[in-house]
Amino acid sequence: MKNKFLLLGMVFLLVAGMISASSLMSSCSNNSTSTVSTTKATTAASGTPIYGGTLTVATDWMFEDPGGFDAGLTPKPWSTAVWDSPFLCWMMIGDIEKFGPRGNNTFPFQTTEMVPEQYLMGPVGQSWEITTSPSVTFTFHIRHGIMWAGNSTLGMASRELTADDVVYSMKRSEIGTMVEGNYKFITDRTAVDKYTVKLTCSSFDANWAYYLGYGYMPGLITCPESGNATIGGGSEDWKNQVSDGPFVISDYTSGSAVTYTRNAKYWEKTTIKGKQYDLPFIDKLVYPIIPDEASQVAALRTGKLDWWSAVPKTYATSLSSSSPAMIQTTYPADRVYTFKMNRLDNQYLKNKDVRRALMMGTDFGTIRDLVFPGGDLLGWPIPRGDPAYTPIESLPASTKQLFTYDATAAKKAISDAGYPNGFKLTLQIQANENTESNIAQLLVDQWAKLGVTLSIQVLDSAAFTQAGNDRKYDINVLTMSTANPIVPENWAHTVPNPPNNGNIYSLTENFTTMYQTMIAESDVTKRTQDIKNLAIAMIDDGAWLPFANPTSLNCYWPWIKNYYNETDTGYHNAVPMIERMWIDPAVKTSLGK
Amino acid sequence: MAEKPASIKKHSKFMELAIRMWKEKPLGMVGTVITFIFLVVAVFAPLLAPYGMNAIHAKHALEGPSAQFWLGTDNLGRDLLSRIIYGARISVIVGLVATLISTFISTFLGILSAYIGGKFDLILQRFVDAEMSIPNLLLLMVIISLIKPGLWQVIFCLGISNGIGNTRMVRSLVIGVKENVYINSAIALGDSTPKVIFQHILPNIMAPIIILFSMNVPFMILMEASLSFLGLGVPPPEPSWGGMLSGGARQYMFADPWMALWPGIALSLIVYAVNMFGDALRDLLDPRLRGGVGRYGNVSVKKKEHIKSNLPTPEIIEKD
Repeated sequence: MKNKFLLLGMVFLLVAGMISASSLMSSCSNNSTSTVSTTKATTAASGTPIYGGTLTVATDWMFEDPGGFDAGLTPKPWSTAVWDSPFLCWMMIGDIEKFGPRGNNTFPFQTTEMVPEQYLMGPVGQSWEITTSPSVTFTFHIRHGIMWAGNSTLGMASRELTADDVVYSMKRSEIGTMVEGNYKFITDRTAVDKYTVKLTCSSFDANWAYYLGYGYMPGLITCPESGNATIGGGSEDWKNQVSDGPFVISDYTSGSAVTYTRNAKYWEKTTIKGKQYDLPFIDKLVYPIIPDEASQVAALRTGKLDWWSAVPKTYATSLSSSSPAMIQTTYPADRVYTFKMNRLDNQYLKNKDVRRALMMGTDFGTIRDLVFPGGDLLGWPIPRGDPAYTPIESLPASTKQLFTYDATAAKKAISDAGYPNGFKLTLQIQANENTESNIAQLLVDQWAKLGVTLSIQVLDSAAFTQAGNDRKYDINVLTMSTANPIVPENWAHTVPNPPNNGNIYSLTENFTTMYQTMIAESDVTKRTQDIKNLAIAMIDDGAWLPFANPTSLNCYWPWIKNYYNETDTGYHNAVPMIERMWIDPAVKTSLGK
Repeated sequence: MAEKPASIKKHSKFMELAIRMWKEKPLGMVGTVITFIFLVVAVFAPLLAPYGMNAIHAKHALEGPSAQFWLGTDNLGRDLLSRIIYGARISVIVGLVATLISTFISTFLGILSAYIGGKFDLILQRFVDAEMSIPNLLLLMVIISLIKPGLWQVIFCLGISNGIGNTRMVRSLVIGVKENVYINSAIALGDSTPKVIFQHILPNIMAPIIILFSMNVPFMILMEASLSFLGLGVPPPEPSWGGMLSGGARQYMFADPWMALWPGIALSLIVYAVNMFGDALRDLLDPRLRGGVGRYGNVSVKKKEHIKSNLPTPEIIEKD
């Protein structure tokens, strides 16, 4: 009997001990929502440029090998552009020195794939003119003095980049390639003289700057000698690349890293405190290849990675505690979660008043605070910072109302629409998507107050996609990119009558007219206003529930100087910032790295 | 003078079992009590839970245990205690119902297969072989992906797949019983097949089947938790302990450990408790280990009593 009680006692102690341990852990832990420190970046005022050193930077494609380096004909243009950016110049990129935080601070340069046309400059296309009458033409004036570094493997001596090179590169990457469809509007490409390229077009496309200037593939100018290389691995071989950018590709080890060294013939300079300096400052740039996330974070934590602009936010707190010297900042992400309610064949959702009532009955602020802490309440379809962005407080009254949570008014609106007893809807989300699940569960609670019963259907990704294509949903999830609001796929989600995509259909009556007017407008100021109006129309229609713009985490070590928290100057292009960075060895040594 | 004969008490079978468990299997009794508590919690969840299972308290998100929220809150501000309580319903329902289905299927197919025998047995067992050769979790994931997750989908999938797998065990029990003389006598006397099965075979394999039932319950609970962890179990906002571990708990594990701790403890406790209960039941009911309480015994004998005889007094070794 004694033994029985002894045993029972031990079991009790074991359970009690576990409970006590958990209470102790919880009392020691931070009870508040995890926050990210937003230490301001170091600025140029903090020192004199120092030449030398090696910078190791994480790219957005750090998890996979580049495979090849032919920017024009690569089967993976979306990633090859990133690997090639250090050694090739773009036709156009964002002008961070004039419009960014180190200039007049008009645009933050934190959007992954987009720079508004008015904030561009041309490394290769130094200036340009657009005519729309009598025909549509683009005339690029090529910068003088850009030198191809040459390549001993190819037997090529250094020479100047010319208009012929640009035309070669454009034709090679725009005709007969996977992106050919984007360039059908160009009917002719000609080198008028050594420094002038003229494109003749059948129509104007508002997305021309992305297609021709800073988007992947054609934006990067390939050297003809490299493009025509046949020795070794041909045009894909890293040894056959010819540089005109700040760096020269000097090594590629599959599964390990791509290494670039300083290009002594690079043309660009920068001015700091009135003095001009040659770029880049660093001797060597390394883009590592690290497939798994845990290793990536470990590399950052230990200082093996100097800068990573897209750290998963779940590591913010642990990085803060393990690496307190590291600088962390946040910036708006370029994808927004939306729940699509664009079902004209659904008896409830086809009613605009019902859709608007559901929006009013959604507490976007609480969802932002719980799921996207620190995010912009409205960041779709235009992100904050874009000239076409309209903040909530400046929206028309009827649109602003949609973001003012009022469950009572929403319930009345639903009742007035003919549903006093509410109704049922099904929301499809993907399995293992915590963000979607969290938002969905919050909506279940909020819409219950409106009399709307929302049931959640969890599908694996293949079934989810199929259901979306077959239009077998009431409401489902779409993460919409805000990177480039002009790119048709973003807007096309409301274009009517596409034959092959079940996700798309139009809601606003004159949307098609507004869209076509915008896309054909060559005047950037007028076009910006058109985009503004379109965005407001989309929101006002209530076809989507646009949740807060999440934030991304940018981490870098304090020995990096002359950096202003920019993340992109075009298509995943961090090179303009990298070439302006220098390393302070004293700071690095003091941190034991 | 002769000692008083060993006293004989008559109890109901259930009481007899309970008393024996208390005396001989204290760990099993602990498991039984814990299981019973979970059952009560599951049944009376709406009365016991301080808040609704999806009641959002946005301002109290990610709080630790406090007077208002005894076990703390999750990342959406929901009371963890309430969600644990409601989660017990899922575990109990899945555990019991899926096991019932599994036991029914294994008993039905096992008896048929063993009793009929011959080619029927051969073919059926090949199907069972095929099902057993596929990893259980993988099979469930594929089926659930096809038919879409949901509580009853999970229950039936678990029940059917596990039932087929356990057919083999029931079959071997029936084969053992079938060879007894009384079965042949019953057949010779003209008893119909259903009568033989229900009157002679089934009662004699009931004890192992009960044990099988009790051993399968924790397995079903764990499988449901695994499926929910993988996102293929009970859809939100229904709180499943496995789903709670997979969701915010994983994301906030280091910053807010109680989100993972409480569902983990609950899951561990119930699996431990039912396992202990099942172990104890097996030890008590298995006639090879102990004089069983069954058709032929409902007598309890005091441990220290013995009948005096001319033989030397045996040394009594007390069991712990």
